[in-house]
Amino acid sequence: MSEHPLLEVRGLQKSFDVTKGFFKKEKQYLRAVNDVSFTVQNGEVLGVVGESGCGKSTLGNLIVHLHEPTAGKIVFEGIDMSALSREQLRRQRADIQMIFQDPFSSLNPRKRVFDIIAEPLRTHRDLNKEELQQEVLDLMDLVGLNRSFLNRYPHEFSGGQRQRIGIARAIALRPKLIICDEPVSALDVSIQSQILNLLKKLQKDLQLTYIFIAHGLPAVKHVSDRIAVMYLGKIVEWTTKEELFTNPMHPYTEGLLSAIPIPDPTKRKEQRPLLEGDIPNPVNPPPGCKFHPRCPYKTEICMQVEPEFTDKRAGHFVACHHPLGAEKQAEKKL
Amino acid sequence: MPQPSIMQGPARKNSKLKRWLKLLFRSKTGTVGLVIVISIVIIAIFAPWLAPHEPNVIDPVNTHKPPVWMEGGDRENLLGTDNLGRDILSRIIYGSQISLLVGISSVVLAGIIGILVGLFTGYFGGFLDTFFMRLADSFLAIPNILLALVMLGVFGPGLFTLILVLGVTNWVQYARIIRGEVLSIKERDFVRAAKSIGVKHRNIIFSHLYPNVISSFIVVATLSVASTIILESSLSFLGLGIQPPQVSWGTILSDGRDYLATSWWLATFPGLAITITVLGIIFLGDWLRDILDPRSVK
Repeated sequence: MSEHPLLEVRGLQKSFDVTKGFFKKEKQYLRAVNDVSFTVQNGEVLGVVGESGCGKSTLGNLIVHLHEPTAGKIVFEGIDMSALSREQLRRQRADIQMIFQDPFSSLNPRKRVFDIIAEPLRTHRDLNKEELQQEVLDLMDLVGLNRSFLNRYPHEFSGGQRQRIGIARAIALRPKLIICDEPVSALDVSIQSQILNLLKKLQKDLQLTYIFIAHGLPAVKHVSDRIAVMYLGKIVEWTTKEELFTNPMHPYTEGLLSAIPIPDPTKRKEQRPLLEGDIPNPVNPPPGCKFHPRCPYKTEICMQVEPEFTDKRAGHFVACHHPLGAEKQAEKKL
Repeated sequence: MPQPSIMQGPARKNSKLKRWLKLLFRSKTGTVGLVIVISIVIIAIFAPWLAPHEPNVIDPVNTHKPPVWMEGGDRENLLGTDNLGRDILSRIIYGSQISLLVGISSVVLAGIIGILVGLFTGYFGGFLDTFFMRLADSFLAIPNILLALVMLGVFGPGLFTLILVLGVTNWVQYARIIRGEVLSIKERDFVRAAKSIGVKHRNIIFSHLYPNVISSFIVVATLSVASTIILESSLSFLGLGIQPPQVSWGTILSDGRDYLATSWWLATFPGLAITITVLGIIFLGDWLRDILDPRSVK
């Protein structure tokens, strides 16, 4: 074990130029990821949760270097990735892999299962034909694919099986970090739990580290050790799973929690603080706290000053002027 | 290892061939296309043995002789003779050599340029893309035949220059089609997956993008073999294409054009030859596109 965290993200920013019209002088930028910092320890699972458009997928793309960051640093095992040369970066990619959301577009329709799973091995390792085939067959066993599927094409499979192929490709090089970009949200509910269990089992068996991106808390609850809640390009709350579910401190997290359906009707309370309204236009974010237009607890200060992302309680980071439960905490002290 | 030959080389190749043949004979148009194309290629290769007469021997006595089934025709000249008494059938048989050569090789040449330009500009974008697309626009602004005329005028007529010129002037349509396809495919997740794996750009282009764009190329290319044969005939008609004594279907066609009212067979038979060839190539191309798509096998 090294003393570095596996992944450290510092002040990461990504803006997209969305200037419309040829003659506009002023450029407009969409800040998809706006000053995000967090760390991921070896062997842990970080869940990243947020509504669509909050920048969570962009964050994943930045970490696997599908996008260049506008500002900020991604430090992987103590090495700043922006300082790497192109060839070094290409080799580095073997350690960070991605599982994609849509299993129908993530597999090349013209390639056989064997070629799809073998691609990372061919790219980074020098194996002869027999070794390569053995390795691919082992991977297929690992993700629960029948060995006889080796020479089939992706279109012959269901969504769940396709996702297994995608997972086999992602773990082929035994990466240290895997970004799961909503890996189950495109699948049938009955398949979702199978894939989640598979991911969990692989994480345990291969000592993998995940960044698990999802748009709702239920999906990450099952797999995560720590959860980061994103809103409009920023992380608003970052803490352990238990702490987040028992003591949410950001009003947005509270809203997300109360949006989880409760299966037992007798346990439903009459009124839960559900979120209203939509996510604001990220090109023109509101001043002050980005969440204030939808926040039930907003005050004067929320509309003017952007809250800082600080450690409010032993590793529980929140960006809010009036964190929930703070009063309770204060009462206890008295 | 209880691993029965899932991946053994020769066995797999064999089954691939079998699969192709099975698909070929299931598709009736594919079979017809293949038969037509193979027979025309055989005719072109064995022209000196198949043709009953020399294609350029003039017979002043027997001009404008009609085909054998008409009054005045005989077995000596099955499809009649032209205004100089040359045997039409022999000329068509010899003409197939040049027409196929020009039609196919200039489309292949244009296709290679177009595919490469389309793949690279579509994938990399940026300055490369802007440069080549503006170049393509300027090619489109000038009529193809005019451009070909100028180039032939500069380089001088001849078979090789003709193929070169037709290839160089026709790459634009392929480049644009391929580029459009690449632009949509490169955003798909499997390309992003390959990038995140660290696959080299060259391999992404040739192993991920190329197999997915080739089917649209085949459709356009087979259609334009036809227009290239016609274009060759127009250039030959203007005196800058095939030079006599070489014969192509285009030259026979344009020679016969003047006598359409009196001796229709002069222009009709080379025209028919072009039509049948083009049809065969289109059928074959259709089938080829189908078998290149793994989804077509059941």
